Amino acid sequence: MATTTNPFEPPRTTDLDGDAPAVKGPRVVVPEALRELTAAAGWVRGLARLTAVSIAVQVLRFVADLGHARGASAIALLVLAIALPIAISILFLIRLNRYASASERVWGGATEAVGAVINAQASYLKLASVVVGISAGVFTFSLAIAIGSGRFFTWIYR
Amino acid sequence: MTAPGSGTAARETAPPRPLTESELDRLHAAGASARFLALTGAVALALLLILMVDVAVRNPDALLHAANAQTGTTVIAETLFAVASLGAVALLWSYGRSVAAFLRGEAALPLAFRRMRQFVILWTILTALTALLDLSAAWASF
Repeated sequence: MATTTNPFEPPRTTDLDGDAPAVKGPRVVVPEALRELTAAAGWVRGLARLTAVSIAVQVLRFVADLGHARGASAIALLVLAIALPIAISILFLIRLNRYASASERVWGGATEAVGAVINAQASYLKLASVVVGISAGVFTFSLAIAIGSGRFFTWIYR
Repeated sequence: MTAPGSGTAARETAPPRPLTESELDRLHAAGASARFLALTGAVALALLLILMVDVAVRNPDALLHAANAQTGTTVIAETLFAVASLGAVALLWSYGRSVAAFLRGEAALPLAFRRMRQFVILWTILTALTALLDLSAAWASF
């Protein structure tokens, strides 16, 4: 407690804080936020495992379709349609595994792993932003070419 | 290694932990990415909806022809993806806004993490259904 020369001075609210560390504003991880992170741990691990299964299924499908493909253009189309999404899914899987591991550490009581969870969330969302950004750019570019050449959805509006 | 569930007491009694500057920076980046994804997704879904309504009004036969040209599993997968994307847009937007509110000094971090949890649940269900559809398509290919 702070000491003053006035013995009748009422106690300050800061005297009730005890030895708690000084916190700048409310930008802290409260127990409720930790509960949300731990509740998500099982789901994140499940999503990582399902993504791995999904990648395995896509690889199977790629191999099956590759057997039926005839000509270089058909194979190139398959690579673009299936192999590229598989490669992108693997990048997501790496980030999901990091997210799941960090969530499980928080679940086990290691509250310092919150930083790793935030890092994994940021990494996952950043990758999704890049993928969506590139897709949107390619789509806009092809749309502009289609509109410019007068072939925009002519197969629909005939 | 920590035994499963042994951290419950530690979490409940843990004092509020302040985030470091680098963690706040990463949280800011996560929120910005989430808002970008939500905005891009909303625009894409709106364009898709406008296109479908436009085609349905001008040439409904073409819409049916386009649907018939695809396999059943592809149509189901695309419909599921569109519905899930709508939910994902709302959840990511809410996550991004909650993160921004938290960084302004509001106690919004639990809400942000709740939205992320709900997003993960939604995406897990979508991934499970998509994997099943992919499996059936792969089976048909063999």
